Amino acid sequence: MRAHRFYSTPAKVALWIIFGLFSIYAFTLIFPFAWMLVNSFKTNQEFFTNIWALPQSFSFRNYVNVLNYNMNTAVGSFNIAHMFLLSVVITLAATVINTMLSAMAAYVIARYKFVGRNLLYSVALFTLIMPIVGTLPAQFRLMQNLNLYNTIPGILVLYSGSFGFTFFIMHGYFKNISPTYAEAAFVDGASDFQVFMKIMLPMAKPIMISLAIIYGIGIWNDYITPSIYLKNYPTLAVGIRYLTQTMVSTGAYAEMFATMIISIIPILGVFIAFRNTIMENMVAGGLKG
Amino acid sequence: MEKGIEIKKKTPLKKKTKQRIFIILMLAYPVLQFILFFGYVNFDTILLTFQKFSWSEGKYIYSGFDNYGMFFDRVINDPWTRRTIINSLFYMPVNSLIILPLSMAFSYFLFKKVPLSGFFRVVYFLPSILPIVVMTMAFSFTFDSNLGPVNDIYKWFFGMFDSNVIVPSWFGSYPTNQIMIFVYGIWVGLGFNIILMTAAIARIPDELMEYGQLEGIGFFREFRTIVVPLIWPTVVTTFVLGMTSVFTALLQPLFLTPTSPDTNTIALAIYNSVLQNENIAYMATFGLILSLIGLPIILLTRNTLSKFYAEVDY
Repeated sequence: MRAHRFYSTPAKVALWIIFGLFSIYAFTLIFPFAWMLVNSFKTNQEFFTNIWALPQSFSFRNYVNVLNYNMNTAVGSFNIAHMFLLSVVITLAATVINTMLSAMAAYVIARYKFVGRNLLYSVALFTLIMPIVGTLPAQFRLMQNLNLYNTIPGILVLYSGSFGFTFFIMHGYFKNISPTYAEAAFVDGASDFQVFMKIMLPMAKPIMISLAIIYGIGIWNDYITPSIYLKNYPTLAVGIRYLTQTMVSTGAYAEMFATMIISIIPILGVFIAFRNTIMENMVAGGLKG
Repeated sequence: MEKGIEIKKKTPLKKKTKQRIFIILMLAYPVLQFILFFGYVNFDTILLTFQKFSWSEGKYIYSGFDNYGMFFDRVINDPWTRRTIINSLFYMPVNSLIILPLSMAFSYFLFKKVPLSGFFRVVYFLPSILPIVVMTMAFSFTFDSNLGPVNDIYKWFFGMFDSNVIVPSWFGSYPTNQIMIFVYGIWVGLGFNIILMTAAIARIPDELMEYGQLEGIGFFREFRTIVVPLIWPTVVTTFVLGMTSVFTALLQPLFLTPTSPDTNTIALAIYNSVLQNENIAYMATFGLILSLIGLPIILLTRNTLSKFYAEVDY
């Protein structure tokens, strides 16, 4: 970032007005969560008496009470801990599978010449730019016919589409890698598979991790897909909606605030830990053109 | 000598076959998944529009152009269908004509090193990473008509002018609730778009910006003559994304107004039919016809806008 040292007075005034607007917007983004955090430590009685007051005592009882709320489906009863575990498993599995398959497809299409290579790339690009709506019914019918409806492997198959954002970034990456390393390995008698596994993947590791984090956040937050295709196994994104609605209907607001805070902590943790990677790569020029 | 030649002849052939096997193995699953879940699903969508579910036979049967006939009949005679389409259409101006220009201006100044710009950039990221379930709940609870904090602020502020101030029921009825959905869209979309725009502005070479400063041009001229043309590809893409939201907007009305049928959108109508497994053949037709109308318009807009400024590589 460059600093502008010589601003005229009107420019300085303008910048301070802008600063004011920025602060207001930032405040509106933080305020609801700060307010919920404070209220998540109150009793419901305290909350109803005064929604602005600070909690009289600092206690995690609401956070423990959240565990008493369940969502019942055809296969069993799920509390927030179960949903959390389910989300972790699905997110990890989907992210590893998707990132690996996207890298495989991207590597072969970027580095090998074969019939249909350009066609594959163009079709993939087309699907990324043009969202075609109204295919949800046919997708639903296909999932039912394949017996994948309402199964965890089924949702992983849906998430394993390998020609998305990750594919395009990886394609660009493999395209620009210097061929010398691979050539040297081939001369030494390495197979295509060995070159990919032992040379290309380790080189691409940093970018793959960044893309995996971004993809993983998307899966963790996804509501539409699991709400349709995984009705019996509520993930956190789907389950907290049900739990918070139950809490509101019984007047358990304090527990509801605790639930909301619990659900954003993991994602905030990931964001803080990988802040720079996420902020640099989330857009990564992916939207240019 | 002879042995060496023999080996040389053999290896390229074997290598070629091995390479082919490698390519096939690497691409087998991705291509198969793509053919099934993109190719076949699109093909089946077209088939589905000529079918209906027969309860007596327990399967889909050919129904000719019935679904198409029903679509045009409903567009003309059914006020709910019309409202669904109109609601969806409004997402376009909100995204492309309000959020986009606002976020361009915000990003430009964020880039100008307003105090705390690093902090703002992190905070503005929140809408992009937090689950939409939580964002919508935070928003609707803030405006809750009994316990939400906005009520107290509203009463305090307007109470200064009118002692009998009544707080509106923000999500109670149409069109207020539809407007609140758009307010939410701006609140969240601004953050998301600022992230895209600042990334684009950050790619502008220093020399170009410095040139403008040496010439002593003001903020507005620098923005208009240097920044906008150079981030134009991102602007066009974001504009087009805003247009596609006509077809994709679904979670905002679902979460913010779960009990109101007035705020329905195209995507929400399709989603609900699939969720309840009801009329999915008709909804496939509904989506297909609207896509066939919408896609050419989106493509045309994209091409027209792209011509405004020549694309520059930098």
